[in-house]
Amino acid sequence: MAIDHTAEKPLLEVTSLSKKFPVYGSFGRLFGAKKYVHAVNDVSLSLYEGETYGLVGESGSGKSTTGRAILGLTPATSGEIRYRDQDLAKLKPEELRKLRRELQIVFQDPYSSLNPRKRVGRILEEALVIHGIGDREQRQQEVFRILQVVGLQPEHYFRYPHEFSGGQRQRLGLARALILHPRIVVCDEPVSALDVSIQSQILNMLRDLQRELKLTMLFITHDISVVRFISDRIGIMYLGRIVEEAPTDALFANPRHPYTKALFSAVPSLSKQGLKERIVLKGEIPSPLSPPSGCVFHTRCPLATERCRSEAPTLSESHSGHKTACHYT
Amino acid sequence: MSQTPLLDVRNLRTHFYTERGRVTAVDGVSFSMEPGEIVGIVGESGCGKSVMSQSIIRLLDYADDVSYEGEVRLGGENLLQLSNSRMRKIRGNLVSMVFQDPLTSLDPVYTVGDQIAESLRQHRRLSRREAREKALELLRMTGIPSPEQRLDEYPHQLSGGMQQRVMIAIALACEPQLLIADEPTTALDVTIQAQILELIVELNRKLGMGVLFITHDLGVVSEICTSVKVMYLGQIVEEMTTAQLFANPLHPYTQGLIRSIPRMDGDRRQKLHIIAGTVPSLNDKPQGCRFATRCPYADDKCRNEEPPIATAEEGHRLKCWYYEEISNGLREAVGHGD
Amino acid sequence: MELPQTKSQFVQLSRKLRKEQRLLSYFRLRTNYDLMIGAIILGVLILVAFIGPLLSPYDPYAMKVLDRLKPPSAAHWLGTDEFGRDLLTRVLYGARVSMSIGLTVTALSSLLGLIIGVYAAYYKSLDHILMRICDGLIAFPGILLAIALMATLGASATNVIIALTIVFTPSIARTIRSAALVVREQAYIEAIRAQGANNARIIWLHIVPNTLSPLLVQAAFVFAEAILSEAALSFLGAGIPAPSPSWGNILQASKPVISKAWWMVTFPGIALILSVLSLNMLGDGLRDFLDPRSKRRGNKKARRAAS
Repeated sequence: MAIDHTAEKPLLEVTSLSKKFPVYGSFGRLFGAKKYVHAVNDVSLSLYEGETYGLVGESGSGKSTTGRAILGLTPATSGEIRYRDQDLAKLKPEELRKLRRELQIVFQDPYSSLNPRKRVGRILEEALVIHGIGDREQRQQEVFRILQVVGLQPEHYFRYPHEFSGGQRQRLGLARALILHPRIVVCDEPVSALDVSIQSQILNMLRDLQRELKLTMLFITHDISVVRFISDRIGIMYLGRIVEEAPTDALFANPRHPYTKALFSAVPSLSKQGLKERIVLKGEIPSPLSPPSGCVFHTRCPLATERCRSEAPTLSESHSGHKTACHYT
Repeated sequence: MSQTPLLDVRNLRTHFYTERGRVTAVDGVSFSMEPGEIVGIVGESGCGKSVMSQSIIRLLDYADDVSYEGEVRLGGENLLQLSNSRMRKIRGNLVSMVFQDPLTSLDPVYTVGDQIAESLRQHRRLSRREAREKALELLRMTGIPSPEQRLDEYPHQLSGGMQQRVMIAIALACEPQLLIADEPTTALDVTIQAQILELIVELNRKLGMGVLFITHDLGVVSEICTSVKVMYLGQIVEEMTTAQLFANPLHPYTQGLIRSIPRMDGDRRQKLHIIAGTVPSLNDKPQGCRFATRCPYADDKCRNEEPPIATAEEGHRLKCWYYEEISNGLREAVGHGD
Repeated sequence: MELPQTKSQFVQLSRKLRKEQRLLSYFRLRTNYDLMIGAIILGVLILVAFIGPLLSPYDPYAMKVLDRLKPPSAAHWLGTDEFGRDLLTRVLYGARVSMSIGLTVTALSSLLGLIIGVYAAYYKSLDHILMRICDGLIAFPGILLAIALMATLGASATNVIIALTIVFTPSIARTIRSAALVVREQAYIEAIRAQGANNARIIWLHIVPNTLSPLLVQAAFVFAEAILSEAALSFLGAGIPAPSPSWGNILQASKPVISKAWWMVTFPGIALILSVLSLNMLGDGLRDFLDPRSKRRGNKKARRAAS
């Protein structure tokens, strides 16, 4: 499904999104914010209708914050999120609530994202009630339908979340996101808490549903092989920035950014036994409290030069659709 | 193979007593490992791999209502029959453990140096200064950046990867014969995971200690383990060398596990293989073969009679009635699967 | 299972599953002895408080100087007080006063505490103001605060209720706030927000129900403390004005005659102890019952033998 999107208008367009979290010193709020965690830094990306965009990064890369900021669950510090000719970041809470119908999210933790005291039926109906859809009976029918869509039984309507296994709960999380017929679904690490045999069930279902319902998906994950399976295009994040973005096949055939190369080589291989030859990164991800100057990756990059330390590279297109933020590609 | 195995587990059973009655989390596990081996224990959550590893050093004694059956022999002693005080001398000394979550396994009120010295002072009776020197040496061995400075830092000041290095330093303090690593890299990022795996292999070669590596990640197994035991619902269903695991997996569960992982080199347009259904609860385990409820090849025999341990070739054993027919293509998949 | 098409099928299915749930709750209830014993004693006390006085042949205010300070006898089961009033009748009427004041105070402070607690937890700006006020109130010893309030308001049953509500609301608000803070951070609250729910809906339909079990537990303890505090206030002369019978009043009256009339201090004392004890057991039992994660550690051997 290599599609050329250049001519198309994106369904959702994020421009220069930044998110800073204040960190208070030992005297608390009294003496004001001392430092900021730069969780997301000048991120721009576009979601085209019907595609799955994979956002990959290690912990602290800002991938989850990006997803949340796009949905307005954490207000962005700056930047623009354009959806249907409106800037989501500037909408009033009331207007944003109405738009939520079309922008949904599936959470990572299937255990804590379902209210333990409500029956599944009530949990799923909630969204319909909020948006005033249907009467009681129609809502029930709609819940039965969505339960079937995600591969659960009608009898589950009356069960409590704790009676379900992890995989089933993630199906419920998906059902809750899909019941409003959204156009965009943000999946925040939806399979990382699941076992491999369950993970494959959920991944297959996600991909099938995405095609059937023509959903646009932002798939956030740290798992390289998962993102390769599910995404049409992939953005690699490091320390709050997108360092490389490309269609999946192009990216895996020819990763350009040194970080992407190291990341891919760190994934244990199933086909060859023994420790494999890999690009071992020195040290750890720097603190987002004080990101390095210049290129954020220069402290660990095997190829870094003086230029990388002082001058930040921009994300620029080298081949069709393949963008890299590196001075030397 | 040498005459005396490092660790010899015979018919180990671990029972928990809960409100709903007795639950057997580890159900007749037998295996042995040689000194210097890295043995992988693989399985999904609820398969009993963690309980099994904790039973070996009787960590569950303190937890809940637990009883063990069988034998765990380490250097001729049956650990399950030792007194509590003798057992305390073994833990952290002959056998030590590294856990999944390094931050919760480190005590936040002591410095890294103190925590490494703790076990040295207890087991080796070293003086404060000797212990500190040894701690520094251990930290240096784990490849942590600027070890002198880390010695006086508290766990929360370190990143996850560094915390895990500290855990490993603590575990190695008394030069154990056996290191049990329970998902030590699961909470870490891939680039950090790669560093830790390399460290474990390096230490294994240098110190010659056996490593029992518990993981759910077959990729990790493929990188570092010499042999693998696949667990399902409290039993080892297949054991073999790592090479055999990927070249010739015979048990339908092992086959399913390997095929359901999205691969870096596979055709990504194809659907992933799935293992139908979910792992049954320990409260109602299937009667016959434990895997029968999810197995595409299962018939009435599988559902009613538990298969014995069969030896397919040297070092390759499994519990399946029909593995020969399946590998010859003589048995059709029915019902489940895709 | 077939998709329930008709309404009757749907109702049937729902009924069947609810029944299963009920059976399970019933089982957990039956094995929770604290809860059962506490509830039974409290039930009896409340029953006695509200129908007991109707059964007694005596008037709680009728003085009979000739019968003063008589020990328990066939005519006066618990004896008589210093004015010759039947002590059993006085204790029964006192139960009514104690129970109704206890209940009212509990209901009012639970409601107020719930509202203050959840709003303080949800809105950071409110949190600072409300919790500092609560801290101030908690800093005073409860009974001292109640006496001070009674001194300002004047002695009457209504004022006792107002004073005790002010005393007990902060502790409930604190409990609710800490429970609500935990709930507020749960992913399912974020999930509801992602679906477009507004704040009022999130607070009342999603946070509040999740704080009800700590509220219930705390309410049982407040009930017990309210009964004790009312008795203490009355005993100190700052509570229900005489001659209204309340356990505190009776105890106060027994003080000068304590060496001559043991029954006057014993029986209202027992009533007080029983009610407080039953409420505390109820509170403990509720905590176990409402929190499915708290495993009661029974006798290890017994359980092992049973399995």
